[in-house]
Amino acid sequence: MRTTTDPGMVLVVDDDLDLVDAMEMVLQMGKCRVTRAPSGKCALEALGKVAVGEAERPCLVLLDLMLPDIRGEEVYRNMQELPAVGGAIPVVVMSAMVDGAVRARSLGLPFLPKPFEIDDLLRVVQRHCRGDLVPPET
Amino acid sequence: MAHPVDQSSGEGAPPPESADRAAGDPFAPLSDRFMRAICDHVAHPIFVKDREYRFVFVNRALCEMVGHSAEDLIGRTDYDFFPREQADFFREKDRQMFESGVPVVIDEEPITDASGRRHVLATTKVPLRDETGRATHLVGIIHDISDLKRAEEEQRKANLELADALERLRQRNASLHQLDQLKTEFLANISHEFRTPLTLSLAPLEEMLEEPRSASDHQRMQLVHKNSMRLLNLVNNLLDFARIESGHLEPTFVPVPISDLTRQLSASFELALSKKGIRYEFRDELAPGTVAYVDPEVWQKIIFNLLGNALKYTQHGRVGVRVRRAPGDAEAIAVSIEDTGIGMPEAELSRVFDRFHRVKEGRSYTYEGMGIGLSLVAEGVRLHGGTVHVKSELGAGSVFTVTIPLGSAHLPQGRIRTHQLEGLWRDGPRKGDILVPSPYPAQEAVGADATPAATRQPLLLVVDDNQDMRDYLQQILKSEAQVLTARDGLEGLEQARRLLPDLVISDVMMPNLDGFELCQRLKAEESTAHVPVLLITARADLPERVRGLQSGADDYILKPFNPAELQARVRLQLRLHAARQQLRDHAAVLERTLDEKSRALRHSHEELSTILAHLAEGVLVVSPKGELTLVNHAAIALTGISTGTIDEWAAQVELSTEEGERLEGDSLPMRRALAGETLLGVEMRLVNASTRQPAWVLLSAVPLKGERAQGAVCTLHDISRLKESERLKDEFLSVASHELRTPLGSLQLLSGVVRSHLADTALAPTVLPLVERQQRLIQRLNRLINDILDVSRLKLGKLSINPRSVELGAIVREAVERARGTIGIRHELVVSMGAEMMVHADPDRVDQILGNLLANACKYSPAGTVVEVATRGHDGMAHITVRDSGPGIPVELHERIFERFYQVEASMGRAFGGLGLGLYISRELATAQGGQIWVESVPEHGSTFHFTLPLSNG
Repeated sequence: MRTTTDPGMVLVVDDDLDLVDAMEMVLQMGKCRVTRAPSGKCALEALGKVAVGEAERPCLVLLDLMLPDIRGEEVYRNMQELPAVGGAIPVVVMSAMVDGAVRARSLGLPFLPKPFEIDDLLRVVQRHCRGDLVPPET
Repeated sequence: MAHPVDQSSGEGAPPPESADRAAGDPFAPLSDRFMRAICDHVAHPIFVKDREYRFVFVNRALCEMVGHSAEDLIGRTDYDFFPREQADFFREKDRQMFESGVPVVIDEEPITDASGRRHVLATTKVPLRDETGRATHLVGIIHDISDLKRAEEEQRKANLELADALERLRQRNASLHQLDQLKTEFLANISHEFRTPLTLSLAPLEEMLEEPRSASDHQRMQLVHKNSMRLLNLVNNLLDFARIESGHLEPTFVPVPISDLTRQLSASFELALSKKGIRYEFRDELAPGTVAYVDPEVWQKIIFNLLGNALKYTQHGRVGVRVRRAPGDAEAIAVSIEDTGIGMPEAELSRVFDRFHRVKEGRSYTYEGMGIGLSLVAEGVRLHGGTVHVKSELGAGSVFTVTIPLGSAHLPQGRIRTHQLEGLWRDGPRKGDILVPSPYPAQEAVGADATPAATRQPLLLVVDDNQDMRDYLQQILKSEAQVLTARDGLEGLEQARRLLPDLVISDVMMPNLDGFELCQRLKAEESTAHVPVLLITARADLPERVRGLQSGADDYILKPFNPAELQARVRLQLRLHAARQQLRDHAAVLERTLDEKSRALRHSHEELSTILAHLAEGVLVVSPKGELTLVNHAAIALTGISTGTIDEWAAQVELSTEEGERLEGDSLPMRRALAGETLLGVEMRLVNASTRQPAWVLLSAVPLKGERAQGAVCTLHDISRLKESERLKDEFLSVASHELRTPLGSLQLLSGVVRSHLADTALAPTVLPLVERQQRLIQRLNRLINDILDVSRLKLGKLSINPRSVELGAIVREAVERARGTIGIRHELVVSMGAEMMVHADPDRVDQILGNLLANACKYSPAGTVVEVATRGHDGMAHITVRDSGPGIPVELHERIFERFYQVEASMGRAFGGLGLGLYISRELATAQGGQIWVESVPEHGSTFHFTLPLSNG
């Protein structure tokens, strides 16, 4: 798990703090930085800043569908309106919902069903972010 | 002029045509001679004239006709032989023929021949032409039609005479017929006129005879009575005679025990005979129960007349009646009436049955007759197809023997009734039918037969225009009932309406309204229709009786009547009336019962309404016109609408299908039901018109079938709550899955983190296996949650399967790859892929099936063994197998393992975990995608799970 370059930052949009903590631990093992957005509103705020160049641009958005304020779909649709964000930042849908896969497919996005293994998570991140992120040895 | 006309004689003969022909004709001389010979032998006169109208040829017949020889005739014209006028006529006709050149036919020409005889001729005049076609001669052929004309004339005269004679005959016939009718009517009227006063005098007389009187009075009265009866007898005979004459005697033959009938009829004379000191004998020599077809009335006439004669002409000794098989004819019966009376001379015997014949030689003419009695007997017997004979010896007695055939084949079929009408022949003799010197013998019997009428005094209405008759009727009937009277039909009708009597006794012939009309009017009115009517008629002929019955009369009695008979009939009618009344009462009771039943029905209808009202199900009844005719409480509560048309209803409740399609017009379920369709339990959505609350209903619409179109009934089963609970369950499932999975996800990740942190530490050898075990348990928990969710969704039919065309290999490889890192970590997973195949399937679901099969394979086979996954295409299906080296599954369980919650072995299950849902879900998923799943296994030799998926067409 050694890396020479910064593999980038991942925006995790999820309100489950336990999960986000665990995800952050895993991603940190891969030297990824994590920005948290515990609500849809927070996520759109953060991405709004990215759009105007006030914040770092994430290499991936991990988007949960069930958020405390607005639905994941709405977050996705709204971020598509943002310049330099819409269509420019890859999004992967996470969900523990029964119909998660269907909803992800209807958005045309890749799906990471919850619960997921470390490898599943790392594989997804690896596919979208820079750097030679290596899965931890098992 | 007896010789043939010589061909050479006279100028101009033979005719030019023959001469011309002769030149080239080898038979010319011969044919000329021939022709002449033929002409001379023809009976028709023939002549030939030239253009100057001179005879150039005549045959013998012509010569004979005109009376001149050929020599005289040839070269002459008609003017030389016929009167000028006639000659002018012939010349005109000849000229016509020459001018027109066509044959002329004279139909009829009268001529006078040489001898002055007149003939009628029909002549045909034909032209003879030369080679230029010009008519040079005229041939005349004459038919003498004098004889024919004469014959015609005679025929015509004969026909005229015949027609004349026929006309005269017809007229005579008609007047005879008229006379006959007049006579019959006259007789009938006489009978009427005679019988009424006779009845009026006889009846009180009979009553007087009953009362104690001095012997001389009694004797005188008996004399009056006897002579009255004699008069009555004459009238009756006249009447019968009139009936036969007018052809109104139409017999009706019924099968009767002939001995019994004859015995009863004869018995009527027993009393009269014994009073005269004559011994009466009845001998029945027939087999018991022998049945013969007779008209009882006619038969009575026969027996009464014969016995009446016997009584009349016998002063002492015996009168016997003998019934037996006819001697010499087994198919006939013979009834003999034998007396030891005065007898008849031999010479009279052949004429006794003639009408109006009376035996001249007789010592006693005490009882005169009119001489029609025996002719009536003969006529009556003839009606029965039988014969009557008499043997007699003057001074020794007579034997009359009536023979009639048995059976009914000899009788007119239309006049046979097979059922004996009860009572038809039991009434005994009619008053005056016979001469009986004592009061009517059957009186007691009839009286005894009668039973007292109802305890309530019945009410009788007597309608008669004759004051005497009214009084008399009132007097004889007052013992039977309370009697009221009316003076004519109109008064009778009025009183009957007002009093509703138990019986109306009415005369037929009355002013204003006659008995028939009164009867008809009474029967036509509802209030009086049940009142029985007894008609008294003097007109004894049959058509009148039929009219009496057609008018609805319940009974009729002939004038003159015996008071006892009238009393009996009145009693009978009163009894019948009482019985009918009882029936009516009974009917009323029935009606009341019916009323109660219909009340019960109404009650049950009310019950039904109550049920409807309290039914949780909404019920709407729709008329054929589409109007709501019944809306129960539940329906109103559900829809907020209680009346209107179904269109209005549907518009207000915004009825729509599950898919959200608004329904209106012909697509409305009620309209479809009205059109005969039946919809059952269709899920629909509606909005309560008053509360605007949406509701889900299961809607059924059924046509109401009946004798006529009765509309439709529509039921609404509110499933809103069900839908709500379904939605809640769905939501619960989502939440549950989410809520369970979310911490599990964290746990899983954290456990991974712990594991990776441990990897390089000293604790690794001891702690790492525990962490790994923890991870496996988390996975198991995860699978369990997934399985439970899937089963729930399967049960709800909510498991979404989205098949599309996908490449099978990629799915298999991915599934196996994932298994390698997790469940199959201790096994060798081998993939043996066939050719690349596109299947029509949901990749997620295929992955799920494979995951389950791989998990099972790994779970049940020892660590380190091979689990092989193979694919191949076969018969339009992709065929996937997962083979393990486990303990195998006994064949009897091959199906059961696919059942829900079944586990191969409980102990095994506990060891390896799982609720046995995997195979159940796999089968459901495979089937839902058009595939199949099954297992092949031999214990100790591992198991192979197969599943198929349809290959994609594209």
